Amino acid sequence: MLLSGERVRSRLVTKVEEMSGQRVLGCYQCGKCTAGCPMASFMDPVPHGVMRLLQLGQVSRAMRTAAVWMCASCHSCASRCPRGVDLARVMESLRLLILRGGEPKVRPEGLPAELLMRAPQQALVSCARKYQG
Amino acid sequence: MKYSYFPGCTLPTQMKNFELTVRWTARRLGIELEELDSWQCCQAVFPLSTDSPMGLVASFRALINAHQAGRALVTCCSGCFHVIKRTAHLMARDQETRQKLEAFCEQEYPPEGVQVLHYLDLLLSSLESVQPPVPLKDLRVGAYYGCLLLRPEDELGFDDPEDPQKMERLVRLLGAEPVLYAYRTECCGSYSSLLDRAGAEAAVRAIVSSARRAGAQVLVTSCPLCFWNLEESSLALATREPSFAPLPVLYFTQLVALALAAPDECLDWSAHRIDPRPAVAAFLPEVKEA
Ligand code: SF4
Ligand code: SF4
Repeated sequence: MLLSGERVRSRLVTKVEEMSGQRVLGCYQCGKCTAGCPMASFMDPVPHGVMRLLQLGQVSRAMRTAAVWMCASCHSCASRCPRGVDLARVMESLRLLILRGGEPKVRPEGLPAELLMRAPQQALVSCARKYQG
Repeated sequence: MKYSYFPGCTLPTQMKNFELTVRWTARRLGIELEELDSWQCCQAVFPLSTDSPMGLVASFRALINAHQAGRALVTCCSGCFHVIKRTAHLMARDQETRQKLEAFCEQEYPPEGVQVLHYLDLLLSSLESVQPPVPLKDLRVGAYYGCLLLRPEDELGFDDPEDPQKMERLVRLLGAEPVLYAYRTECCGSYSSLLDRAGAEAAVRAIVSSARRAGAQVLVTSCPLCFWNLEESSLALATREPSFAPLPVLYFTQLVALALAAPDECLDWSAHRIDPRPAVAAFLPEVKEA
């Protein structure tokens, strides 16, 4: 079977592209994003692997990866990608597809009380915005 | 010249060590910071999807307030700077989102835009003409930039994201010695540390070890989240791995305050869990015994 844009283009891939403003077929799988990703060793698949899943139309699988939650939006990938793909935005669109489905990843009230007391507001607000939607 | 100062949610509450030294250094150097009227938390993260303009509301309002005061907006926290500057950049380019926000907030965004500055830039220009009374001689400082100040460069325009120089320049102006190390622009793990500490711990291990190998005695940052992750993960690592040696972390304004001989009342060490005082002992004000 020959892969083509039309064949793998699902409704969800279009949604990811709209939300992220990125074209998943723009990525040519060089792996530079992964090479500089501080969280790559906690991801499987790694960032360019997530891009590959999307290129193959496998959005649901991409949504089940640890990468979606471990991504710290550090923009290293985006600022180095030779194809100008903003992978941080792609990761955000996958997170939002899950969170908007109604299931928060973290509920602030579920965090340890001791952590809630000590963590600075910036940490708590960021955490709530990224993991609660 | 007066500036509209946006303190952000963290400085006035849990990071008084940062806030006190911002206010003191500004007074000392004649930088007029006037706190912005009725500001709200910048919402901490810049929305990365094209369809979530609500994440921009607080920074949109802050920008309009600064404009109405007729001033540039100044902030010290990397997070606030990142979010507000990117919002200003977006407002200049995305008419549809701007109109949505204008309709929602019932306020008009100034067509000429609003200038967003980081306090580090103001300090750099003020310090050019000041001889610090307490030069931080022989103190080896590792500037830790992290992500939020630098990337994306085309929107933030702060410094070179791969080889930034501003904090090193500041360190030199204070008479200290900047230490270049490989991980100074790497991420600390950011908010992911609240979900899973492993990622942040690995990131912090790499950052601190690399700074230490290069000879740093202290790290400086402008981000409360970096400050938190550096301390929290370093302490956790040190309990498990006896060979891991943490480094104390200071805000860049604390370093400036030391060099400008700030009085003891402006130096609040209570937020530090890795005490920086031994590393900067030679530059601390003498505390008079009662
Ligand atoms: S750096 Fe860009 S082009 Fe290369 S694999 Fe990553 S997303 Fe694809
Ligand atoms: S933004 Fe996410 S995917 Fe990209 S380098 Fe940073 S942590 Fe990795």
